[in-house]
Amino acid sequence: MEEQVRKDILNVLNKGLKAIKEEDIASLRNLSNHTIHDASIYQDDYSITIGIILYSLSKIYERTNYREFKGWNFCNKCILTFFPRAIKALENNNVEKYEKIVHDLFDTIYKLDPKLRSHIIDVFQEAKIHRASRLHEHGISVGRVANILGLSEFEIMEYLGKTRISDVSFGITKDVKDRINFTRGLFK
Amino acid sequence: MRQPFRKALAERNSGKALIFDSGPIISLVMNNCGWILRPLSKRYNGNFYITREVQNELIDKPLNSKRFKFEAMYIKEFLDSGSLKLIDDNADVETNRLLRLANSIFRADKEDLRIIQRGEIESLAFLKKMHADGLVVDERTLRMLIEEPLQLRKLLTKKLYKNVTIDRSNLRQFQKLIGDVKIIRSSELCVIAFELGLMDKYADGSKRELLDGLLWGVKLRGCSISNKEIERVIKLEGY
Repeated sequence: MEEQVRKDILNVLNKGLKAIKEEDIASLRNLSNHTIHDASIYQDDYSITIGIILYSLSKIYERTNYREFKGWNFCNKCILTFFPRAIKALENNNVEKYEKIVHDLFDTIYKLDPKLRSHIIDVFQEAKIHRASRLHEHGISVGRVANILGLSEFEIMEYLGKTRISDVSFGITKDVKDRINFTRGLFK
Repeated sequence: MRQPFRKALAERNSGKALIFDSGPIISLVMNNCGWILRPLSKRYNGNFYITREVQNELIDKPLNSKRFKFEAMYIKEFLDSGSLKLIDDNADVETNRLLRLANSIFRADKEDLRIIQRGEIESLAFLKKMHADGLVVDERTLRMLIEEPLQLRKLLTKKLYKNVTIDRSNLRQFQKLIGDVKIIRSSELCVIAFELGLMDKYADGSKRELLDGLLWGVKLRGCSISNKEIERVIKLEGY
């Protein structure tokens, strides 16, 4: 793990724990955005995974009806213990332990009551696609993003269409008139 | 229908070729107008090609999933019927060279920014080798890298909040290798299909609305065309 990545993840974990305790959903989501820069530059599993976790947690805590599902207390407890354990592992520079703690968090999902599990799996899948669109927004191609996150380009394209990424003026290159004229010439 | 590279090259010498990335085919198919590839390929009087990596993304991968399995079958039929042709060669030296260059043009935090995937560059490499007329690509990054790399640097700098530098030597080499590349998107193909009257049966009285619906359709399925560009196209078409 890059030292910069370790420092950045430690920072977001500390702030993330505070945000969860205070049920500050907006901060949790903002924190997930902080990891996008590292994910774009280093394209490492650590930055990508922590971004997906934080974004997913923001959705999970935002949907207060999840708290009515059987197994919520167990789920909440696992999330709350994840943060201090992960922080401690990274503070000790024990990357192997950190990886195991992240792995355990994902394992927890599969131990949940089926109904809650199904919702949370959906949230994590949505989070992956959302992360993909954010990475693309940061200048990484659709193909590269699909490869990094193990997603299909169909899923990413479908999601990108719902965003305003294509309306950013930086993205407009050649005049559309010239492009149409060129294409017209091909089909005369 | 597989298309060994030499055969494809020989065909190219006697006809025209357009190389497709996966994105525009996805946008068209998801917008219920993948079928325009058939009449357009006939009208073009040449061949529409995809590379093996693109075939993998469009057909092989989704065939193993539930979500986009039918779309994969639908696209496969274009290959079977010859509306799309496969260039069956993916071990291209030029692809590796272009990929290495493309992913070492921009740097941030002393790291090369790996912005492009092999499949995207492979299409570009074959475009040059086959002297194809153009590259059909819907996604923004590759288009910007080819047409406006300095603008792409600005975007990266703005989004990453980092000083993104350019290795000008790598950029020059990349530009020298690719030469003048003409890029079109699924939206331009839709405009041509519209102009040729292929969409008239859907017009329901207003051709303006038809064009608007068509362009917004591909935009909402991931084609990187801005709403301002759509407005401009509609004006250019006289509506």
